[in-house]
Amino acid sequence: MSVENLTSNAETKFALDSAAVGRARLRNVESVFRRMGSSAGRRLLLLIPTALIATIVNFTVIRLVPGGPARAKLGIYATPQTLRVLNREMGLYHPIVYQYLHWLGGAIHGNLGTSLSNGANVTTTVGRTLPITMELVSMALIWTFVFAIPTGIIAARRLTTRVDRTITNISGLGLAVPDFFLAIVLIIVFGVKLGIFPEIGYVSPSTSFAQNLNHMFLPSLTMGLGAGAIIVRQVRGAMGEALQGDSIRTARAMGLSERKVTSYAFRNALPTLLNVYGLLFIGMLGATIIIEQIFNLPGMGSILINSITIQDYTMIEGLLIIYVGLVLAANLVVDVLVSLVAPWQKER
Amino acid sequence: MAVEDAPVLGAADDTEAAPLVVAPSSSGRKSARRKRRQWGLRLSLSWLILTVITSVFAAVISPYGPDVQRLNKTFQGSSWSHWLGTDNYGRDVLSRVIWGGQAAWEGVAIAMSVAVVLGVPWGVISGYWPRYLGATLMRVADAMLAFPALIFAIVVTGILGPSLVNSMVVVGVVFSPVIARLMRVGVLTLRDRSFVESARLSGCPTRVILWRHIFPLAIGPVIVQGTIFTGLAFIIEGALSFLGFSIQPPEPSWGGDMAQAFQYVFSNPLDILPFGIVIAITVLCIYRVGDSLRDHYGAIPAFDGSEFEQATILA
Repeated sequence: MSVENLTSNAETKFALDSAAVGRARLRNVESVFRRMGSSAGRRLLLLIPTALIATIVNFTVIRLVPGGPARAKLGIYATPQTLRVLNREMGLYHPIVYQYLHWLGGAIHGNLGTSLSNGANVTTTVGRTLPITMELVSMALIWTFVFAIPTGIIAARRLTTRVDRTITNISGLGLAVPDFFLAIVLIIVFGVKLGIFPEIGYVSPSTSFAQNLNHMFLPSLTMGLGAGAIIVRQVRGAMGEALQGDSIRTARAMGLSERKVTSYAFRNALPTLLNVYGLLFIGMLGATIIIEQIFNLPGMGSILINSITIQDYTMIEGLLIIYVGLVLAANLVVDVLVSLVAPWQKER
Repeated sequence: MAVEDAPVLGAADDTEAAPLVVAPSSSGRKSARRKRRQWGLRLSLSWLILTVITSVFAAVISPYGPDVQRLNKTFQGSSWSHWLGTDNYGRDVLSRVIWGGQAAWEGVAIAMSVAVVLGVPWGVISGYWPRYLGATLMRVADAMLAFPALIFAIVVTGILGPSLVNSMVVVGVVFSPVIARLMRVGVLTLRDRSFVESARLSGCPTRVILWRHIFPLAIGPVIVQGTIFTGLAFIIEGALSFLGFSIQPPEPSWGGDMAQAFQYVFSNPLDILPFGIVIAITVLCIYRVGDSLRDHYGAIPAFDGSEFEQATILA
C-alpha cells in the first residue's frame, strides 16, 4: 500500500465529521438512552444516602438555635405559657426523631411547611422566587459561554505567548476581585456614570420582557465575569492538554484545518469542562445571594437573607433543602452528561 | 464566587512545573521570566507582610482612631491629613482600612485553623481506615459539600448570631470537608506503599506511621489548597460582613465599610473603592503565593482524577 493511500485512509477516518458521528449516534440512540438511563438510575440510588444525611444536617442546624425556635420567635420576654402554646403549634414537644420523620414525610410530598412569620406556604414561596434566581444563574452561564470559552480557547491555542499571559493574568485578577465589589463597580460605571442600565430593581418578564432583560443585565454580567475568570483558566488548561494529545498531533500532520483540530480537541476537553460547570453552578448559587441583595432582586437569596433576619426557621429549612436539591440535581445532570460525551471514562 | 481553578493546570508562567506548558526554547527568556516571577512573589509577600504588620500594630500605625467622627468633615477627598479621604461620619478612611485589615486577618486565621484542625484528622482517618469508618466519614463530607458554601455559612451564622468569630468558625467548618477529601486521597495512595507496609510489619505503632510516614507526604496538596482557601476566606469574610453577618458596624471591616459606603453610591461613588481594592490586592497576593507553593510541591500528583479535581475546584 502506498503512502498516499495510507494518508487518504487516515484522512477519511478523521473526516468522520460531527454529522457522521450524529448519524452513528442516531442508529445507537436506543442503546445510548439505555446506558444513560441505567447510569442515571444508579447515580440516583447513590444520591439517596447523601441526600438523607444532608436533610439530617439541615434539620440539626436549625435546632442549634439557642433556646429553640419558639423562644427565638417570641423573644426573651416570652411567658412560659405562650412558649408552651407555640411549641405545641410547631410540634416541638414530640421526640426529635419523630419531628424529623414528620418533616421528611412532608418534604417528600412537596410540603415544606408554612412560614413562621407570615404563614405563607414555603413551597409556594420557592415556586415564586426560584425562577428569578435561575434566570440570573442561566444568564450568567450564557455570559460565560459567550465570553469565557472562546477566550480560553484562544489562550490554549497560543500557550506561553504574550496573548496567553495577558489572558491568564486578567483572569487571575478576576479570581481575586470579590463579586460584591465587582457588582458595585459595574453599578457605578454603567448605572451611575453612564446611566445605560438601571442600577437596581426587578421587572417580571410577564410585565415586560425587554425591561426584565434590561434589569437582569448588570447582575448577570457581574456573575458571568466572576465565573468567566474561572472558566477561562479551566478551558485553557483542559484545551491546552487536549491540543497536545496524540490524536491532535496526527490530525495536524494530516493537514486538517486548525478549526477542525480545535473542535476535535474541544470534544476531548468537554468532560473536564462539564465537571467544572457543575461545581461552578454550586458556587453561583452562593453568589446569587449577594448579587440579589445588592441589585434588590426578589429571588431565593433575598428571601433567605430576609428569613434569617426575622428568624423564620421553617422558611430557612425549606429554602436550604431546595438549594441542596439543586446542587444534587446539578451533580447528577453533570455525571450523566459526562457519561454521554465521554463513555470511555471510568465511572465514579 | 467561591470556586477556584485546579492546581494541576498551573498559571501561564509556570514554565517548570505545569506539565502542559512547553518550555520556551531560549534559556535567556526562561531565566528572565523566572526572575519576573520571583519579583511577583516578593511583591506579594511584601504586601501580605505589610498588611499583617499594620493589622497587628493598627493602634500605633493608623493616623486616627477607627471611630473618631468629625461630622463637619464628611466625604472629604484625599488630602495630606486624610490620605484616602473621610467617610459619611467624617472618619478617616485609611484608618478604617487598617483596622479593617485586623478584623479580616483575625477572621481568616480563625477560619483556616478550624478548617485544618477539623479537615486533616478527618481525611487521615477516612484514608487510613477506608472501609467502613472512612466510607461513612466521606458520605458526611459529601453531604456537607451538597450545601453551597456561602449559603451554609450565612444560615448557620444567622442562627448562632452574627459575629466575626461565629461566622469564620462556620467558614472553617465549610472548608474542612474539602481539606479532608484531599488529605484522604493522599493517605489512600500512601497507605499501601511498601515503606508504610514495612513500618507496619516492623511493629511501628499506627500513630507513628500516620505522623512520621504518611502525614509529611500527604500534606503538600493540603498546603496548596489551604493557601487558595486563605484567599477565598478573605472574599467570604468580606461578603459576610458586607451582608452584615460577620463583624457588626461601627466596628471597622472591609466588607462592612463597603456596605456603608454603598448607601452613598449615588453621591460619593468613589468612597467604595479603597475597601474593594484592598481586598482584591490581598487575595491576588495570596493566590500568587499559592502558585509558587504549587510549583514547589510540583503539580499535585493527579491521584485519581475525578475526585481530586472536585476537591480542588470546589469551595
